[in-house]
Amino acid sequence: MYERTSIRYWLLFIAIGAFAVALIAFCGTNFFGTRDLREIAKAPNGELEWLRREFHLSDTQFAKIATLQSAYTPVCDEMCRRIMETNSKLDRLVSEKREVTPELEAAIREAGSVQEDCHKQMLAHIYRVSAQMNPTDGQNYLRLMKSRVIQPALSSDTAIRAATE
Amino acid sequence: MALRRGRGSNPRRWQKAKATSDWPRLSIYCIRRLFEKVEGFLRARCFTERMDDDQLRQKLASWEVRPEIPPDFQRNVWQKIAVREPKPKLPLFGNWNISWLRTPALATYAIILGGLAGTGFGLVESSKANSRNWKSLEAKYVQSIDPYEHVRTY
Repeated sequence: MYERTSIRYWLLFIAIGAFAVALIAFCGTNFFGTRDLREIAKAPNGELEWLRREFHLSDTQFAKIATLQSAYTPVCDEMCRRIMETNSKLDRLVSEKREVTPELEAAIREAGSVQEDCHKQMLAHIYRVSAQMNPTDGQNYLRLMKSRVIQPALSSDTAIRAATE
Repeated sequence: MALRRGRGSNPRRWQKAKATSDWPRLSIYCIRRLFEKVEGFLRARCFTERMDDDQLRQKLASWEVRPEIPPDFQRNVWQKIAVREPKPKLPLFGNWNISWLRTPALATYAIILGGLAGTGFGLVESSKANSRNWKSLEAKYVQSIDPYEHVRTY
């Protein structure tokens, strides 16, 4: 009876110990395995670090692309402001009017013009960035941006699949 | 009755008494030694020469042994047998040798297995988390160049 109880306690201790070791190993592996990317994600320019790793950029290429990115950021912010302005104006007019007035037509044209501008600016930036990369990586970058930015309605691998087929 | 080895028969005390010329003690020591010698002689003679075969047989026949068995003797014997016997095999495992399942070995295997399982699950989970983080970084980059993504996140 005493021996059986002792064995039961032993088995319980073994199970608890094994579970504790498993938990420590799991947490340790998970912590150290994700530390690198967690730090990149927290960093202010994490997206550029992603770009560097995804498209195998050298330090020179990275520096040039970082410069391009910092030059493009105010342009992007300005376009963002214009989009919000035209969208709110269009929204107000659509809510106020009961028919398509010349004012509403002008607002629609302006929204379209802003969208066109945005696409042009964005595409120009994408081409400038891809020009800094190695040819293969540049091609891959264009494919990815095409699927994510230019054809957002399509699934992310559609453009890549189309290109490879 | 055997003479007890007293103070006088101790060789160290003999040396000490001799060195200090303690004659009374020396004489007591000599007398005791003499008695011991005589007793040893008599015993040897009794068992070898003075007792013939018939007497010895009679003595042996009349010799009665009354063993005193402690009350828990049987239990102790069985306990010792149980300790030395190999552990019975579990019927679940048939005739397999499961001696490696003894407690210290089992603890070692369990801890090693736990460590391996934890590391394996940790690697799988960290890989998934890295994949998620990678996708979120990609989305962050797209957001940084696409003003429409900017507007959507407002």
